[in-house]
Amino acid sequence: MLNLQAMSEPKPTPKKTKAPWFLGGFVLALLTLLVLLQSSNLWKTFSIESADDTLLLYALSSLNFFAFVIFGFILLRNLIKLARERRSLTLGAKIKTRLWLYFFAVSILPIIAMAGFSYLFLNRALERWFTSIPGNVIREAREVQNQAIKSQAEKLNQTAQMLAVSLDKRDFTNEELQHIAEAGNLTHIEILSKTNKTIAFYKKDISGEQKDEVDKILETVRNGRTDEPVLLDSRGFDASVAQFSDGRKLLVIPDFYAEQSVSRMVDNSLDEFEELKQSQITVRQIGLSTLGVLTFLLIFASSWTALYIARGLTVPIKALAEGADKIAQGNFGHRVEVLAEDELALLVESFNQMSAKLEENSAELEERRRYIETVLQSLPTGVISFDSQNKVTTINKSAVQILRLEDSNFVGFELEKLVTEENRIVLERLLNRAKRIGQASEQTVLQRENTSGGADTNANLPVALTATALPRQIGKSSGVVLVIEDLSELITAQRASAWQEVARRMAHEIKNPLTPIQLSAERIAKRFVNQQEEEQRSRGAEEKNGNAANLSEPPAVAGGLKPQDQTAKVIKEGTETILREVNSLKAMVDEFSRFARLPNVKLESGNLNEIIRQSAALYEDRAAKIELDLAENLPNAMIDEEQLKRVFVNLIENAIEAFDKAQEDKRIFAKTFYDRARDLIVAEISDNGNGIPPSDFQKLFQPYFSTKGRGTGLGLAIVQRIVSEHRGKIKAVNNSPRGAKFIVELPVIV
Amino acid sequence: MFAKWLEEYQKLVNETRFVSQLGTFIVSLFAFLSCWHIFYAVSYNPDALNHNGNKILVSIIFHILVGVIFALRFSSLFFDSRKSFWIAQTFWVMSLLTLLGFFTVTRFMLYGSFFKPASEINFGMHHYPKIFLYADYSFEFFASLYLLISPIRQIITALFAFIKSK
Repeated sequence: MLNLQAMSEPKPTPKKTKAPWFLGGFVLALLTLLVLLQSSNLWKTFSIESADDTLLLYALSSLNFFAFVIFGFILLRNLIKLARERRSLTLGAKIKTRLWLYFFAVSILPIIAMAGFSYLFLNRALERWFTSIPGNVIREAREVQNQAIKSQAEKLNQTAQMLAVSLDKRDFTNEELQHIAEAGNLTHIEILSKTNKTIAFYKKDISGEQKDEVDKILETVRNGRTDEPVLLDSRGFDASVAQFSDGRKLLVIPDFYAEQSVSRMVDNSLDEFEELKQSQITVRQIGLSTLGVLTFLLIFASSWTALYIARGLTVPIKALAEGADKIAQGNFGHRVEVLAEDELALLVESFNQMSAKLEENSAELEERRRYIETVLQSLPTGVISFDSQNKVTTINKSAVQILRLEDSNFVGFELEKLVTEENRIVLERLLNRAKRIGQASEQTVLQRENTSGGADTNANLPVALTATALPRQIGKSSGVVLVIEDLSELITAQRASAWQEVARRMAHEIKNPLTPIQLSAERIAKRFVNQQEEEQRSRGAEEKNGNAANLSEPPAVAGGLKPQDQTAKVIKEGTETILREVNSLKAMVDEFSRFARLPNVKLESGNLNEIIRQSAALYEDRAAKIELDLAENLPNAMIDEEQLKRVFVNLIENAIEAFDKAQEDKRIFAKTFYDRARDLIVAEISDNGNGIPPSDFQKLFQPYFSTKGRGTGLGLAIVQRIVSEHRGKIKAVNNSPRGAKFIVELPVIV
Repeated sequence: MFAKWLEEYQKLVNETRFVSQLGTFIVSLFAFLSCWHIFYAVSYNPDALNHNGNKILVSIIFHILVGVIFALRFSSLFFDSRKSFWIAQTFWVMSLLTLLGFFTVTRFMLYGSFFKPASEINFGMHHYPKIFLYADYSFEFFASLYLLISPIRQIITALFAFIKSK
């Protein structure tokens, strides 16, 4: 019995995992926090000030790039997979593509518009930024710068000239020059000869770079190039050279100009402006890249969303379709176990309930089918079902045996492949009649092929056929169930019963007049003998008394006998014949009487081998040789030893009588074995005699059938009756290579 | 025995397909980026072609070869049939051999020593605006990583398949 309750229990559906939701929530919260920080200016403005900052920026940009690569990879992978699914006609690929296309089409226009507008705004902003500084401002700045340089140079020259006039025609020590330099904020002061040789000088302690610049100026002046513009360019150190009246020269280098000088500031500003102008291209490129990344991210987001939504729809649909396919293939235990939402979840649940119910019903149907099949297979009646084309759909074991079919699968076979042509006509007629009127019956004799190579007792089998049309399905023609009932045993039993009745009546009707006939014949014979004796005695007395008796004696007939003697002979022979035939009739009537009133068998547990040995022993001295092949450990059976001994004696006697007198090698074989499969004890009595003519097989066990020309023909009929009363069976077949074989099958003790 | 091992091996390879796809995609992408990077550098230093023309050509050819082979392996990893499995495995062997060839050729033929740094690949083309990434460095990094990890992954997969098939 199947555990239907356990089978019908719905399997637990997988619970939705919460991890993605937590992750999504966390990312969203992080993004919100970033937006708030940015919008409220709470976050420190990031600026690159050190190598660490550069590294951080590089790391972040690399991270962005790899994120871009990964997103690109995922998008590309999804699209390739989608294309492959479409090509292989995977379920759900079309809806996925359609959804992706919709999302892409809906999102691409705003994304492109946004990217376009952003690019325009970026361009406009950049152009406005760089074009907002008027060109004349730059020109004026340059003018101011030039004026400042000129004025500064004039002042320095005037100072140098004034010093040269006031200090003319004097010799100076270095200390005196130091005082002058400290008083006049000079970095370097030097008196040069006509040939530009240093006479006296003073120089302040200055840093390396400034010293280099001063040294360069000194070298220029000492080389006699006192009119070089670099000496008065208002950048770094300037220098002025004044002439003494005696040809000497005074070199004056004032202190380093501060960075905040107008010239420096203007220079810096103009340089910055130029750098910005140059970096405009880079800024534009960065802006474009950012826009590109944003555009791509938006496309990725819309595509991914489309594919995610499509997956949410297609996965349950695909699972349901696969489930339906599995159910169609008969796998009712299949359950759909996918995460689905809303109506799809309801659909999945309904599907699982349906499959559970189907599984339950299927199990019930299977159980019922097995029950019916078991009943069908164990029926002694043959049952065959045919479809509308008269092809076999089911056939049970008994039908296979009755029709003597080879042991193979007959499902799908046509009728003509199962039976002979004569039988096919009968069966087809019956099946067609059943299809027309619902049910049809007929009794017939099935002509069967002999599978054992020769004729046997059951070559033609009387059967009762009943064909019933199956209920017609809509749009389909109906099939038919044919029931074949073996009537041979019934007919045999009926025949035996009839013969018993005949025998009983014969015994009664014939035996009664036989006794008076016998007595009358005996009386006639006795009376006639007495009369003859009296006549002989009186004739002897007359002979003694004279010749008178000779004169009255009748004349002798031909052959020398007197008429009285002839009559006496006839009477004697007649009465003897009457008595002999009466005895013969009596014997026959006794035989019939025994057949009619066979004593009831007294069944007791016994061994068949012993009975066969005892029966064979009775024929040890006969011309035929009996060979025994008795199985060891043969199970006991419920038997009546006397009755069964009569069976085997009869069979051996029949076998002996079947031999030709001229046959030299007369052998009778007695064999027993246990047929485990059928749980039967089988005894076989066979001979190598002439065998049984095919025409005699059917009449073999009928009473009053004999091939010997003598006897009552009741031997095998009695044998069959005794075997039947032992709940056994007997059949005759041709023995191989020659002779006949009688097979007795008896059930073992359960 | 072998059939069962092969079945388990295929199953495991299929289960780790995403990693293979990602690895091959990145190597292929960076091979092409690196190739583009060389073109970009050459466009700023046309004189480099006069001095290192052959070396630059060989380098470009190897980059394209690696990119194409890895792209083929990447695309072959999207099919499920038994035949495509063997095709993908063949491409894996080819990609590994190509990478080995690339490193051998670039190190010995182009740089003259295996242990010379990858920055030598500039072939004297130092003066050009740097782009967002050092594509050549990145490519060499990922290619080396692939060359190291992929065979290990295959060996581990084969061992796991052997254990599971027992």
